Amino acid sequence: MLLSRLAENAFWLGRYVERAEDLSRALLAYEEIRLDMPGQRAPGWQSLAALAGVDPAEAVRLDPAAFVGLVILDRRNASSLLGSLHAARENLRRTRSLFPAECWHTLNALYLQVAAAEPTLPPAELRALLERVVAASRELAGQVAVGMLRDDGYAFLRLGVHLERADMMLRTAGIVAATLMPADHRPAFADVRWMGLLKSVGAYTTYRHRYHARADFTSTLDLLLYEPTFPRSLAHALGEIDRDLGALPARRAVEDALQACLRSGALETHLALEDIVDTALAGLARLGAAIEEAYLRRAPGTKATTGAARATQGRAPIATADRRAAQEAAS
Amino acid sequence: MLWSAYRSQTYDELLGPDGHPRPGARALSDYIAGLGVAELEGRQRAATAEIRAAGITFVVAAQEGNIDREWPFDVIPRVMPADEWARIERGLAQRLAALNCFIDDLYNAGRVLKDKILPAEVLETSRYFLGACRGMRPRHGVWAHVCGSDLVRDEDGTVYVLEDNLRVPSGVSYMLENRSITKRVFPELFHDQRISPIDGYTSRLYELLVSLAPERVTQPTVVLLTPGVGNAAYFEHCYLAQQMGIELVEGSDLVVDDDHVYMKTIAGLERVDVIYRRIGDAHLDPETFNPGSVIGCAGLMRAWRAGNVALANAPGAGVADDKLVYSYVPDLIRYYLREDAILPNVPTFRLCDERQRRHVLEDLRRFVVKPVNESGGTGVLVGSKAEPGELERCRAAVEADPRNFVAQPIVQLSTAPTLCDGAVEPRHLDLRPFVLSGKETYVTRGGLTRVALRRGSLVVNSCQGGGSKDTFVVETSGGM
Repeated sequence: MLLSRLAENAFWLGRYVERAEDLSRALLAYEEIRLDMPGQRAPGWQSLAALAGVDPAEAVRLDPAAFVGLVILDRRNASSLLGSLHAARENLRRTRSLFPAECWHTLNALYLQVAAAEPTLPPAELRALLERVVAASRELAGQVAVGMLRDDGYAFLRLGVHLERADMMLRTAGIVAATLMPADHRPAFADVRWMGLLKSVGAYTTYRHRYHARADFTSTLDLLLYEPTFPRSLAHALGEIDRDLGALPARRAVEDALQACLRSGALETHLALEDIVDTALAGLARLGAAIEEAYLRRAPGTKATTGAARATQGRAPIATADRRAAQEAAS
Repeated sequence: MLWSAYRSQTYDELLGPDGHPRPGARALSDYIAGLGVAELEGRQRAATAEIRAAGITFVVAAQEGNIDREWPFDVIPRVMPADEWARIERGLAQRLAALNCFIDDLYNAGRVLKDKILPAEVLETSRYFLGACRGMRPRHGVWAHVCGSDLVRDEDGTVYVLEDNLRVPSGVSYMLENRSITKRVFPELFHDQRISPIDGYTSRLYELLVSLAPERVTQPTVVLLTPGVGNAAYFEHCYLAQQMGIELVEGSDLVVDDDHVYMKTIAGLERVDVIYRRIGDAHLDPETFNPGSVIGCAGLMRAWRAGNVALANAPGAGVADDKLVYSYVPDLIRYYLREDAILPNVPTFRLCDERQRRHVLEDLRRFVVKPVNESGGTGVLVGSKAEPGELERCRAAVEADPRNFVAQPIVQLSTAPTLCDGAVEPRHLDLRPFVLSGKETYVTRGGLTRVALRRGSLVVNSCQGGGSKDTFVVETSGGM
């Protein structure tokens, strides 16, 4: 039976690769929207910094290089782009035998490329770098899809991916709701903003295909939360999680947490977006915690913290103590 | 002609003093000469690319944290005639038989001390003698299941045992990988000569580990215990676990309950019967040894003593690894087996003996001085290459703690042709064969050849810039 430690590494590999991809998507969308809002200072979009655990109030004051330095290139912050890739790489390094050999080449090359970037890189190069992250993440997904045994390691990788994908989608939507939407839902450039949200979570073309029209609140929400055929929706993620849990030894607490998430998916759209997002995020957090509690092991010194500090949330057990590293090397 | 400019200052493994190939080496020397340097360099690049693609690495501790280095490999193999190898094989088997008798005796009756073959002080001051192992009788009477002994050849061609590594010897995965690379870059070499295959090692190791399981267990669960990803030999730990199809566990994956060892899986606890541990004794069990260990598992020694889990190598086996004990090995072979040692020791001066100490300190430059309990070349002083200051510091250290040092005359290690910066030049090397001891003894055909890549250097350790070569044991009876 799969060691809990390896399952944990596979789970966090999935989470961190997905986090890097979703953060890149959000930042790419941000760049595009900024250019489409003439005369405005793209109000509040710095709040995307919260996805990387950087305080939005601080992010507003940052110049572009400092913003890139903190949100993209801060290796010590496991929610920044480079930090996520570093954590993903460390998790893969410990589980290489579970995955197709080419996964290491892909992830390692990507990490080295992002690690070599300078905070002052010009916008066009930044854009290329973010696109490269998205492409490499898709490449990894392809390598796993065609090259990996459908075993327990596969199940835990996917559990991590889907939890994180739903989590990041909701956080992105929540940020938009909290900072961009006046109470009457009619801000300037409203459709640009909604389109921006759709782009940032990779839902733009799907939305167009389905609704044709300008984006609005109800249909956007409908797609992102409740549409099971849309692969980046909350409903789809929960369906996949349900399927992967089916392959593992059954655990009551996990099943209960999943059912609670599925029930909250039946929320009515008359609620404020913030409330819907908060409820769904809390449900996912409980589900993630239940999975860890039931199957995985938490390494010493890596207790998850609660509260607003995204940077310290969901840190994988990669930060081994200096003492441990010294003993590993010495023994 | 490639060989016309090739001259070694000492014994060369490939060519004799007259420039003709040694027994078994003709096919290789002709082949190398036929390729020429440019083609050799092409093959070297192919080998390096192969190593990179396969991710064959070892970890070097650096300021920036640990980093993976690609395994340094020289494409020109080293040749050993099969009849000479047969003698070395017998010598190693004999040596391990005696060493295992010795360890078992030390932790039980202690006859070797009562008969005054080994002075009791040597034991009392040994860092690797563990009181917690007294009275234990591991299966087959074997404590050192896996041994890597280092062999060197001096200028007159004699092969000596330089040291025995009985704690957690590493390198066997590189021996196996070196062969698989050579087969890819020099397939022609294997067509017209008989080179012994070496790939049976991991199956032998697995069979040995299974044979150590507690008697009542019919289908034992075997695991490999690693210190973790920061260890220099982590690649090897992964490699061996994968080759044997066993779990690679870390200390925190294990838990001892009711004197049984379990590993934590996603379905709960699963019992473990045999542990091939690659963690040193000191870190093995914080309950018994170093209480600060975070890479071991508390209670492991209790489970081992209760006979509920087998550990390979057994705790305490390192007592025979002490370089002062090494100096007694020929006596131990005579004592336990009533045979003369087939493979000689390098003459060794015991610096705790006043007369021997004075002799050595008279001219330190003629000796190699080694701390008795280190490995990987740590703390070793080569007198002929040392600065005056280093010599003085060494002298002071020896006088402060003579039990902690031995001295040996400098052995001019033999050389073999090595590709260096566009030329084929002689470089010094040693050889580490691996010995598996259980109900039967198995010695690898050849071993890991380590080569000093700098001209004139005698330091072959991988962590100090050494490289490696494939080792061919070649049948010579066919008239080659």
